[in-house]
Amino acid sequence: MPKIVLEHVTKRFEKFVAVEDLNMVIEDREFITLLGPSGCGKTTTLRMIAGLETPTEGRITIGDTVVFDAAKGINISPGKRDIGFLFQNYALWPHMTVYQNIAFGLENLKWSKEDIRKRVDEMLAMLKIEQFEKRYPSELSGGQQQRVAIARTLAPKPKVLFMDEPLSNLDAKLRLEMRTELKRLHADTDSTFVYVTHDQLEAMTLATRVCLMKTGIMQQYDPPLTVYKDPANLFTADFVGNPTMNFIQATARKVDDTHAELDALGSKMVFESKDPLGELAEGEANAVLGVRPEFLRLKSGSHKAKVYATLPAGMETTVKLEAPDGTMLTSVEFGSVDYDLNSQIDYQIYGDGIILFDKKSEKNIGKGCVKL
Amino acid sequence: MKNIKKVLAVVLALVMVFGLAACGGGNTTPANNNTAPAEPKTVAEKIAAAEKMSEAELEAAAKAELEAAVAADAKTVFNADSLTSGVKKVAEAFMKKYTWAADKIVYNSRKGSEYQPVLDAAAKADQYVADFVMIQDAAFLKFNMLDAGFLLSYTPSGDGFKFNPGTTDPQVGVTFNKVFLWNNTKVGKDQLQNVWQLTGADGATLKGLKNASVQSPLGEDINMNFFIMMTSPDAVDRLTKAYKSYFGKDYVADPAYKNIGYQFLAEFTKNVAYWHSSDTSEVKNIVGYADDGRIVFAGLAKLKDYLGLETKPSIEDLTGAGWNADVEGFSGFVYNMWTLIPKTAKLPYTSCLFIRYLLSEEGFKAGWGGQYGYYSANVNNKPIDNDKPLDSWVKTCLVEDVDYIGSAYSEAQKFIKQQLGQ
Amino acid sequence: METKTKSSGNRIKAYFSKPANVITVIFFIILLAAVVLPLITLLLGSFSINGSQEAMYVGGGVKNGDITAHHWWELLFSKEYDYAKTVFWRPLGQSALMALYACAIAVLFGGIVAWFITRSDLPFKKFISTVFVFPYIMPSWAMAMFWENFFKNTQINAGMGILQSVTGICVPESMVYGFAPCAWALGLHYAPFAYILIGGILRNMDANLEEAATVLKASRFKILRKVTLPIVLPALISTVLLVFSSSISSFTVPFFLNKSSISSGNSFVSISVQMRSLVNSGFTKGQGYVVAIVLMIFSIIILTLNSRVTGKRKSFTTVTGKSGQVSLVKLGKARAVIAIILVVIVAFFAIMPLVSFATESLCEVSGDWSTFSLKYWLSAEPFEGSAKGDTIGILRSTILWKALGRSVLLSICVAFAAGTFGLLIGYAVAKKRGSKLAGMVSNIAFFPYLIPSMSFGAVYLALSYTEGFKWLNGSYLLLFIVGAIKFMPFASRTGTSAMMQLSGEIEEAAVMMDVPWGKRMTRILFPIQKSSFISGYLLPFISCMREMSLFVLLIPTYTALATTVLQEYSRTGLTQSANAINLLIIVVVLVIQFIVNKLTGASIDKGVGGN
Repeated sequence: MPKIVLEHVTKRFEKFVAVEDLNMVIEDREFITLLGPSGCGKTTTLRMIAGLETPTEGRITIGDTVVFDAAKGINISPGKRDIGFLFQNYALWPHMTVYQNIAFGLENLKWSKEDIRKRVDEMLAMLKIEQFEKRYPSELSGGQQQRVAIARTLAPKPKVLFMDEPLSNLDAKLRLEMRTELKRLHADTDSTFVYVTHDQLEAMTLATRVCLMKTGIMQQYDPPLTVYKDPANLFTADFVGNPTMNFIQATARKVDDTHAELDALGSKMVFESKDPLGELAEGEANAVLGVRPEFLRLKSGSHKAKVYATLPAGMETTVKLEAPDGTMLTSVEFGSVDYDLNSQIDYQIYGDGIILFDKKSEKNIGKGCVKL
Repeated sequence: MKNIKKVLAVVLALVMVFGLAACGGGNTTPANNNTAPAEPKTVAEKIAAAEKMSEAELEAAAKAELEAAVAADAKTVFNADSLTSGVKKVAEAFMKKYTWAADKIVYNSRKGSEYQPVLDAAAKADQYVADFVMIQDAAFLKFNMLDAGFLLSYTPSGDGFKFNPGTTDPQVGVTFNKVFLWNNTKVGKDQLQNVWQLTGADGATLKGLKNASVQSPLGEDINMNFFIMMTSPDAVDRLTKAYKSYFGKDYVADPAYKNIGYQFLAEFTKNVAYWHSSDTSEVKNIVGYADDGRIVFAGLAKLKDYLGLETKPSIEDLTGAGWNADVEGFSGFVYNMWTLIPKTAKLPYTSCLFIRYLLSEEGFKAGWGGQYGYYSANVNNKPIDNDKPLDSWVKTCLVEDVDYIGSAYSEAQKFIKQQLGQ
Repeated sequence: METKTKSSGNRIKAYFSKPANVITVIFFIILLAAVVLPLITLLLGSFSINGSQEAMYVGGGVKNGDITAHHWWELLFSKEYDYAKTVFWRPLGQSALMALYACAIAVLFGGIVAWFITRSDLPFKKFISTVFVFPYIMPSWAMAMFWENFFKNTQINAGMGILQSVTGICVPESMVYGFAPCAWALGLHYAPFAYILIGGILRNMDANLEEAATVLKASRFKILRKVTLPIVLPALISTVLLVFSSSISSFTVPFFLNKSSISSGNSFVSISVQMRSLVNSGFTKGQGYVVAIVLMIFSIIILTLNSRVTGKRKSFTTVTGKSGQVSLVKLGKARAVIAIILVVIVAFFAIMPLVSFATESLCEVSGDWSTFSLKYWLSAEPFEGSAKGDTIGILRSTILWKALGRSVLLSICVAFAAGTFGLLIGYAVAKKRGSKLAGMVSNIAFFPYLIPSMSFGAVYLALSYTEGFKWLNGSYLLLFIVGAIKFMPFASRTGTSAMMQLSGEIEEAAVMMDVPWGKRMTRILFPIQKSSFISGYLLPFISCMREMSLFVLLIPTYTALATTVLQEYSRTGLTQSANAINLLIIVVVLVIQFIVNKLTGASIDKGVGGN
């Protein structure tokens, strides 16, 4: 069964390093998303695994086969890697009908005519595009084109499916719909999915594990909720979650293994970690306190702030606060609430999901609760 | 910008002319019309007047005409259009002699097939094209230019001018010939004696020649005319005689051919070994061929390109004492270049003076003196020493005959193309 | 009533508020006038008696200007001396075949090189792509001349050629003269053209389209056959069309290479040679027009085929921004071998003719180094034995420098106009995809190329003698107009294909921000497809620089343009000077191309991928 292993994979374009020393294991039937801002090397990584791009160094194994090894000079062509690839712009062949597009891969596998017919029909039905069979891609809408592209990719039943931002060209509603479809597809097809996106919500909702990348370097590789609840560093904490995490500048001093004194938002606090704290650089403003908006509770507590704006969305309401020292804070409350602008409000930092980052290394050095 | 200026200038000139005419109109009385013989106005009238003038009178008229034209438009020049660069040299000598025309005579090199459409267009629109035109291709000249009255002829007279009958209306300027040339060191001097040798057939005494090189009549109009002339009554006569002398028996008509000329054409074209693309380079290369060399059909005038070479076998190997200019049948083809004046010329007196000069001894020397293959229509002008006089060439060659070409063209060109297209 | 006229008035206003519509309508009118005029003239000429000479030929008492079907009948059906067969049908068939071979050679050679340059990791790309376009910069007969000089041998009594003097090999006559060499010379001459057009598409083509097929286990060959080729098909057909019509109407090459004797069976008289002979003779002008029209009909058939094959339905889906990551095909072990072969072939056909020009201009007797002389370049004295007073070394000849200056200026103006027209037509066609008028404009824009240069020139010559247009007579403005129209097809092709690949949204984004149309064109659309457009400017430039037959009727004197000076020298026997000018023209074109490259970063070969 295909398990994908990347060892020390590096890709350099002349002077520019796209991916640096990437090590990663993708287990069978996983749904992995490669997440990061544009230019972080996620697409390059995907294309390297698929064989469309040649790594400069390293080794890639799919299943039991080493498909690439820079040292040994192994480089198996994409066609022989038994994979499917869904392109961002779909890359449908403009001169072929929908049917011909989908059948193309099956023809290459030397399937019989009837089998191809059967499988294409199956795919057309599955993606609900039966009526477009005889059309050319230019006669389809974006969403329809996307379905055709998926059908084409899935038709040969690839064991591993690579997707390069396949939903980015769709409108919001369709994107949501397709996301659900993709998740079902993953369950139905028994395949391993590797999915590139810059949309953190897409990454979170789809994946079994998220690989976060920044400037060619892997930042965190964990299940979505872990990434959310226990981000490895300031970058992942900031990139994942909407509204984004509150970052409160603090001066911290370790008291013992699990406790640190904090000076933040104009008051003194104590941070209590469940596990031993990580390394903390000495000095003023040496730490950042990361508080998810849902851990910032309003209307009670000892902190005070001014209501800057309320953004009700029906199910929840995002409240923007301005702390006395000017720090902007975000809180999310369930349901529809409304506050007068510029009114003073009390709040508290609540729960044991608060993260302490070392400002210099940007690393997560502890998770726990804050007490006054 | 320039064009706008031109247009403005023309408009201004017109306004002035009309203005003057309007002013003058008021003052003149109708009675004036009856006095004095009418001044020649059209180009034809001016040419007729010029033919009656002495050289001095003509020069005075030309000078006055040019000065008036330059006064009206400082950019006025005398345009002399021709394919032959001899005209350029004539123009330079002309300007030296008639200093009042300095810098005003412009030679424009116009290749025949590319110039004919220009003349056609100008004739159709009755527009100015040049003041002097020197062209070849008798059929074009006669049917499209003379019959339409677009090109007019001027013949100088007086001491030093003597023309053979048939060369003055229209006026011939220079006559050319195209002949079979070869390198005597490669092809024996006496090799080509009878034109039937060129069909490749072995006669009783002479070897058929298999190395003729000719430019295809499909690309060279003069050669097409030459080929057509091979079917003319004159050629039939010559070929029949030469046939008897070569094969030692009377020619018996072959029903497959219209006449002996057609048969000769068919056998000759089949025997041409090489269809060269440029007479000039072929004449230059004539030295280089190994073995039996080539017999090149080209303008005798092309020898100038050969003479230009620094390393060459003696010219005698090709010409002069060496050549056989009296091939039985015919030695080649003679054709004319006419000196004419468009009826839209702006400076007709100058045109006449120019033609007069071109045909004079001085003018011919300036343009074509010291070269092979150029024969002035003015028989007082002698060709280069080693060359033969025109009279001799006319006897030994086929001569372009516009009436025959006109009547035979349709059939003969079909036959020739059939031969070439095999 | 009033409301009705008002609403239709509004509709017209709305129609013309869109620049694409305005452009379409304006160009429709311009092209109609500029292209249909020569067409009608040709057609009329083919059905009437053109001059008294022709009246005499036709006989039966017809007069100049009479309407007649004689030309058509004579040329198509006359059995007298197999006339129709020898002058028309057989040459037409053979020439069509020859042109097809030339297309095959051009498309295969140009296409393969384009593929290697754009899609593989071939080394020496820069060299190959720079040098590969040389043969196109030279006049087509240069390649023919080189072919003869290379292959001729003493066994066919044509003098010793390069091949024989180096290796002693004598090739058979059919490889030196006749049908095959014509096809080769033309094919090699137009291969760079195929390379530019096909390479442009390949480079702009979304690499994902091929990658998608790779992932689906299609073999390299199958991808080429089923994906790449169908997508470059429009460019291929454009190439075939342009090469075909140029080849079939090329006069110089078949005339130059038809030197074999008739009895050798190797003689090849092309339809263009027949046409030239017919048009040049005052007796048969009308028949010449008939041939010109038939040749155009051939091209129109291909044109129709083109629009059939590339119907609207299969049109390009637009390219989004993400095709930058082209993965180059690894040639592996074959890399070095292919590179060497290509470099040798390209250098041979591109550089050898230049070398031969150079040597020809340096020897008094062709190929004889003992007659080495620099005088044709440097002499300040007129040449001995030459009839011309103005013939001095070309580098010292003010006549030539002035002519060259005018040629460059004319070509720049023509290129600018043709290129801009082409771009605008491309824009209008891409914007109004599927509209009938736009389709018509795009097709008519092709026509000037299909009309033989000489006929095209002749029509404008006649125009310049017509009342109201006389101010054009002999002016450079006329040359400019004729050139701009004649060379528009190159630019409109590149312009259209480049615009077709731009997603409409790119412009719409700017429309939303209320960017005016001119700015959208110059600041957004042009920069994105810059290399394609610049090659749309460079192609007319190069073609105009080496054009002769188009202008020869329209110039006042041979000193007008560099090519006409060249023709004059070669006609009067100054082959060395002619060769030197040829070399000089090529060098000038290369220098200008180099400057354009430095200034804009784009060049013909770069447009294809030679960086």
